[in-house]
Amino acid sequence: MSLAERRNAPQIAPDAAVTAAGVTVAYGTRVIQRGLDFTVHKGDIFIIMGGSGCGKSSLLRVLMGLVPPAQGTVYYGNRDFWGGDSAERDAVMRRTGVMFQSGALWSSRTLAENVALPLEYYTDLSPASIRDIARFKLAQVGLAGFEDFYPSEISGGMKKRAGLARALALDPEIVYFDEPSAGLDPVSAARLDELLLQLRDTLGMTVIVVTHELASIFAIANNSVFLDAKTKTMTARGDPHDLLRHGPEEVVEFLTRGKGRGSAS
Amino acid sequence: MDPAFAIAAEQGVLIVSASGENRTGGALSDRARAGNTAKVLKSLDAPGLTAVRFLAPGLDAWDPLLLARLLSVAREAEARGLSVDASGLPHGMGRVLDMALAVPPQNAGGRAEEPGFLETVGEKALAWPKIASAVLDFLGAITQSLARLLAGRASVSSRDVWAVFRECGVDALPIVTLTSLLLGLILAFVSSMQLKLFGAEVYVASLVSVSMVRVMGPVLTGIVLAGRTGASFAAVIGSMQVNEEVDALQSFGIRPVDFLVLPRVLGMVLMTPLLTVYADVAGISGGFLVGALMLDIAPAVYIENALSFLSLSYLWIGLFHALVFGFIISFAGCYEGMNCERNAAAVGRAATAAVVNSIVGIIVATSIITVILTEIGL
Repeated sequence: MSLAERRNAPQIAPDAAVTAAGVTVAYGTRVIQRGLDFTVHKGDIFIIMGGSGCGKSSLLRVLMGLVPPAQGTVYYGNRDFWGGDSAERDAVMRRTGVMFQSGALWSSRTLAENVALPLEYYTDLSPASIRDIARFKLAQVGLAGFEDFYPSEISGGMKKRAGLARALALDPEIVYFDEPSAGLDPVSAARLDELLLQLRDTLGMTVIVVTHELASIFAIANNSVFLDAKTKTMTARGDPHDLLRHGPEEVVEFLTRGKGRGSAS
Repeated sequence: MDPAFAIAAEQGVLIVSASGENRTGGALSDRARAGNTAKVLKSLDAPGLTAVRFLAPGLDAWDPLLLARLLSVAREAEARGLSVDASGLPHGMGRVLDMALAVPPQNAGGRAEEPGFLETVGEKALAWPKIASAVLDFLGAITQSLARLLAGRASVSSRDVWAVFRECGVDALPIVTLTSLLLGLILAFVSSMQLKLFGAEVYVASLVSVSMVRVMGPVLTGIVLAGRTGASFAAVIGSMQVNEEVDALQSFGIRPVDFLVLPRVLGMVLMTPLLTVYADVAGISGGFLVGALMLDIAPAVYIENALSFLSLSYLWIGLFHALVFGFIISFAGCYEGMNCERNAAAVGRAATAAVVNSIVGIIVATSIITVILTEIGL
């Protein structure tokens, strides 16, 4: 099937949350990944994996709507995200949450105000109710008592958790995570993984994660795509547990090297 | 003096031996080592070679330069299809060399060569239409955002507008007081020197009041605000770009223009005229001090003279200037901030550009307004 046909007639599964259709990711004129096709189903914990510099984070920025793809498009449900107008895109983005690699908290606001901002922007709730929701979201990620701290006053790991609380502020259907466990100690990373599983199981969220932490991948993922830096395209997709047994050589190598290391710790 | 590398060929194997002189601070000069490496590279082209072997007899320590030379020899050898045998090197050295050889050089695109003079001029000229269209796009985005606000489809948080009011209003009062008062003093002094020649010192009062209200007050306020607030707009929004905070807004479907730019533009456009009125009063007071204390003009006469020449239209003209300046400063600050690249140096550049562009904009706008007003006879 040619790229054009694929774009005109995408095969969208009925339970698809996010579908990439022939997505090419470029940085300026330099193509980083081309021809990406994959489907994230509702309730998936979907991992975008691959070595450093293969374009994982760039792909994430395309999926979450910050940067348009050089080619192809992304479907949310069965609606063409990049083909629609910007008001439609805003509406979709309101229903997604993002945890940025460094937290990206608004530095002029306290943690509670960070969580409260989207609620203030989109809801008519009273300030007291918004404050209660912010408190609850922060408690959910283990930051009760830190409501009035500024982002510069807390540690890197706490910033990430606060970023997660903010991502959950509007009870999104889809949550994106950019390297959630990078810079966290193993115990905190494992806790974050548990939190992700709980969110999926209790709130039915779809979770899309960029990571190369193998311990995380095997603990939480049920679907994935593997981006290869050399061929600049995806070389495998599916459940990482299956890929470990039947995947292409470089994927198995990627998954086993880390597995040995992961089980040793 | 021994050469850096001794070369010998045996049965198609080129043997390259590094001697003990190959050390930082060793007896060999850099030039000798480089010349010798060139010779080794040349001898790779000898017919019948199949392999290169590195030896290092009596070498107890080595420096990065030696490794760099060996690496270039090994790469050249591999490019010619010769096998490289580094087993004759000390263990650690061989391993470091293997690590460097393991990944072939990537064609990552590299950096373009430094452009020449004509090329630089051409590029700058070609960049103009791009900058112009980016500025127009930004202007369009602000207009759309304002339209959304007026249609009730966007919400500007009043808290942000108040913060801007404070930043370019109350917080700027001390410096505006000082500069306007002093400007009034200077105007009074300089004009009194000339007017004294005609015995018309009393007109110092009207000269100061008219020039402050009509143009000097707004220009001075504009320049103070450009340096204070315009730079801070650019730096704050620029560092939010660096820190992905702008992306975070966008990720919620909140438009950064609605949220970051519009409150600043609105706040500044509303606040600059108010601050200008204050600056006018401070400037006229400065002139009054000089007139009453140093030129011995009776206070009542001074005030009478200052006000009698001051028509309301001068005040409107001054306020119009201030409105335009407020827009120019906030626009330049926000534009530079929103277009800031993602590194620390870029934030500094954005702040500088915001101030410079604001001040240039203020002067240019003043000239244009003055010419137009003169043409229509105001």
